[in-house]
Amino acid sequence: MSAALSIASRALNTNLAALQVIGHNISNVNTEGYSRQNVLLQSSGYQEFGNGFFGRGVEIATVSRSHDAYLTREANLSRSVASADGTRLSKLKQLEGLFPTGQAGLGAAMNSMLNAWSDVASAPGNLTARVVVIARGEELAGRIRNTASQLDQQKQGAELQAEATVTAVNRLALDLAGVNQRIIETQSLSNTPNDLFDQRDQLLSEINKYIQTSTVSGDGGTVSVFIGGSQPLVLGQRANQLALTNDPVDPSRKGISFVQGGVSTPVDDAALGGGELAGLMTFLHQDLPDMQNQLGRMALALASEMNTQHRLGVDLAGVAGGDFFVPPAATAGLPAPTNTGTATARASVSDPTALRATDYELRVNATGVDVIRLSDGQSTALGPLPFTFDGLTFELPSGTAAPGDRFVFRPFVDAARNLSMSLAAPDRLAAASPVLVTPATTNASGLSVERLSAVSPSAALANNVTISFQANGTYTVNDTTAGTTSTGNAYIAGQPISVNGWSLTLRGSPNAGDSFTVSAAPPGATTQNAGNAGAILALREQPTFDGVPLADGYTSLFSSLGTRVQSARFAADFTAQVATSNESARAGVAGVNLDEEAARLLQFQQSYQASAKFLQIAQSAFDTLLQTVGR
Amino acid sequence: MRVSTANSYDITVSTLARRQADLAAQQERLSTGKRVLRPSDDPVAATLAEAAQNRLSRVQGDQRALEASRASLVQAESGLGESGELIQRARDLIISAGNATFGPSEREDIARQLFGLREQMIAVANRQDNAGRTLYGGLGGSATPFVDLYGPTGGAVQFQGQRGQQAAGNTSLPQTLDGDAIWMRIPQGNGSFTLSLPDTNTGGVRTGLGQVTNPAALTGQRYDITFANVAGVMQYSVTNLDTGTPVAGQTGVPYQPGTTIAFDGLSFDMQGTAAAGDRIELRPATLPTDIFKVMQDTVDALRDTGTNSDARRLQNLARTLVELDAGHDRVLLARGRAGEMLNRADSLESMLGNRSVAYETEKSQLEDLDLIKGISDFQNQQVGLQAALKSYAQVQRLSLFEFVR
Repeated sequence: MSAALSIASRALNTNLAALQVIGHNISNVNTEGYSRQNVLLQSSGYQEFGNGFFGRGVEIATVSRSHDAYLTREANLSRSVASADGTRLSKLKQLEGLFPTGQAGLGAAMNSMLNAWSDVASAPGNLTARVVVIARGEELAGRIRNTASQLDQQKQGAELQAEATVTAVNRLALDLAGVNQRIIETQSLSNTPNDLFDQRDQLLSEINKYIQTSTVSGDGGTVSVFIGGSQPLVLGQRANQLALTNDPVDPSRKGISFVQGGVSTPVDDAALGGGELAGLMTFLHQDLPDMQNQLGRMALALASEMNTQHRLGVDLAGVAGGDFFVPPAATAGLPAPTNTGTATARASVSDPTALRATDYELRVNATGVDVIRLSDGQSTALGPLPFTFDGLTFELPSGTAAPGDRFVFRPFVDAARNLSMSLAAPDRLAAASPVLVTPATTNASGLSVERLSAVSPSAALANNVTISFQANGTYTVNDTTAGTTSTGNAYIAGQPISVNGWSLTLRGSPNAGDSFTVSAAPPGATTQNAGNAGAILALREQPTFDGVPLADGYTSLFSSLGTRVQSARFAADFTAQVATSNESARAGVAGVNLDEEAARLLQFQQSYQASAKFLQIAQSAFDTLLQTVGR
Repeated sequence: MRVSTANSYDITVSTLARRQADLAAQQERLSTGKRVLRPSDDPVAATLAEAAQNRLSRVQGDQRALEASRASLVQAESGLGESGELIQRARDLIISAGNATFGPSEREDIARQLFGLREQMIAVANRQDNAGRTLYGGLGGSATPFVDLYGPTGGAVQFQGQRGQQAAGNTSLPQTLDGDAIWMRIPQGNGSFTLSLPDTNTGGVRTGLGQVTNPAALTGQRYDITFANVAGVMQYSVTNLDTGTPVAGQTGVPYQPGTTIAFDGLSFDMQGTAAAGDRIELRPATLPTDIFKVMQDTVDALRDTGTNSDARRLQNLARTLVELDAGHDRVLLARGRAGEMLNRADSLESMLGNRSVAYETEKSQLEDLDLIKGISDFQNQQVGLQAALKSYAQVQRLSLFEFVR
């Protein structure tokens, strides 16, 4: 009789407990990281009587967590990759906003500055046209400077975000270590602390959002967390720290370091794997510097080419032209802290058309130096300095270098920040050519002058040079100042004849005996002479940016950015999708389904009601017995 | 398969958000009319559109430069027209000056008018366009290309521009004409030699301009024709001054007014009565003269009041008239050239205009939104969003709890 009562009460308790767990599930339906819990029931065993084995009812074996470690790890990994791609994409989109196309773009500003020279060429004496050129130049320089400073602001913003992320990771690591501690404390042999495990998994998932981890399970369900391949962020109950530290060579560059016991070890970007930090580091170390370099190269090449051509001209007062933009200063090489030599290094532009938008590293060895182009990692062995590579002249102006010394060059990063006009007075605009050409009076009129301008600096620029055409179709160049003659030069109509740093383009077909004399332009002829303005207009076609003409330089800049954003968007879309489906798979096992809980609620409600009925019957049987006995 | 309730809500919400974002992006495209708003929308199209934009702005610059050239050329052309008229008036005056009844005062009056015309011609030749660029400076040089320098021997105009004609480029035209070729290179006399009378002549002999009869036989040397009275017969002899020898067959030839004399590939006629000791100087025309000097020569001839000035005046006026005509021809030639350049300006302008339209079209094709497609896409996305919202609303009502009350 008492066995029946005890079966009934145990059944009531068990079913109530099952209902309690279902209630817990229902209440946590929207709790982040919660895993559905199940009550595992088991038979309470049996009692042996002479006539057989009698069951003792039901009891709770344990409350288990519905969870799949593999799916959880997959979801974490894909989430960290998706968050890296998503972070990078959002940063790149901001970056893209700085480089608009069309009329609002830097390309339109550059073209309008270059095209403004066309009005000066039409009216070299017109001060208004000259003022327009200077104003457009100032606008262009201002816009490039402004873009550069906005790039700097984006860099600072991304660094602040990285700083905040590092702090968040450090806090989460401490929390996780604390949870590990509590897991050890509540350890029991048969039951698992489900909600603590959920908390642990949730912390891991949050850390993975910021930085990709790998985990190793320890005693009693604790977990050790490693980042960057092998750095132990959490080891049992002990947490280590991440930090954002300056690069030892280039203090303007910040990277992630792992701090353990006061020792800081830099973590390579490639080892970060995923997470917001990985996205931020890719942006800070690849995307942003690349755009800075491209913008800087545009500024540097434009300034160098404009200055070179402008200096070749003559201003309204007949004085040789000065710099149009403030000439870019030489870039100092950043010495590595491990350098043992005393040398300083610097790089300056020698050929603006050969520049590549990249940083360089110089490694001193016993016989000379190796220069490494950091964009593609290509290393070139060269003899002792100075030498010219990629349009830059590298030199060691002071001290001596020891083998093993290294220098990092970022030649373009400051160029855009510091671009400004050197010229302010319109009459100082060197629109006139320093040389003029005079056809001989006896020339047959078949040949006319299309253009004459100085194209490169030369001491012999103003020498008197006579070009005379011969009966055999060649021409003779006679430099009467230097007393030199060259004969038998082939003439191609429309192709420039270049002598002594000037270039003369003739149209038409020559007759034997035609001759042209090139000599210094007479003083006072500057209002009628627009030779140098024409030469500056011709700069528009100068192949400058890896072969792209100067006027189209901006297109290569923003097209590389556009492609980058596009591929980042594809990557972000793809990894976000993978993360979503992995999360769905994880949630499919671990998440709560309300319909399921409702069904189970009914199920256990009914068994509770049945147990109650059984108790009632047991009780009434007992009552019947008592009444019978009591009579 | 189990569906986690919270996850299904999350996914639905994020899908709805994405659809709304797509709709907003499509709406942005529709409202701006551009398919490519950012380089990343279509990097290739954005690059090509930017290149087209660059070409377009260059074409606009070229068009402005062409307009400037055309404005200058129009002024230069009309300046040449004026110059031609001035020459024509000078010619009329010279012809009227040949009137035998005119005395020195009438001639002085004509000389003054001619001198005024000369000044006007210099003013025309020094004209500048609106931007201060000389119209006839050639390849550059001084802002006043024709400078009238006065010296002990009278006025002489020098060209201080830069000789030579700028060539037309592929999309551009020269702004200035070569004034040197227009006014400063007029052949002297008949272009081969000149005939003149020294002041010392006492007789009335004069000559025509002469002509070349056999270019191959020309020597290009100096000759003097001298007259002598031998036994009552006026005779002339031709001496080659460069060789110092008499010309064969031309020594001691009896002179008759109206005689045509021919030797060494040239011939000319002589008129009027000669006096013994008279001389005719035949000189090769080496350097070209200029229109301003021709005018000056005319003025000088009209003002010539020396002994026997009538013959010299007739001789010189005949010569300046020919030179003036040659000058007029050159002005007309230059005017024709300027007109041809203006024609070319029209064709260049329409070419640049076409090019500009082509670049606009290219740019538009690359980055503009096909509105029909854009609107239909927008409708599609709108329908999609509506369907998503509706299904969400329906699905979220499906719950077992609804049925187990």
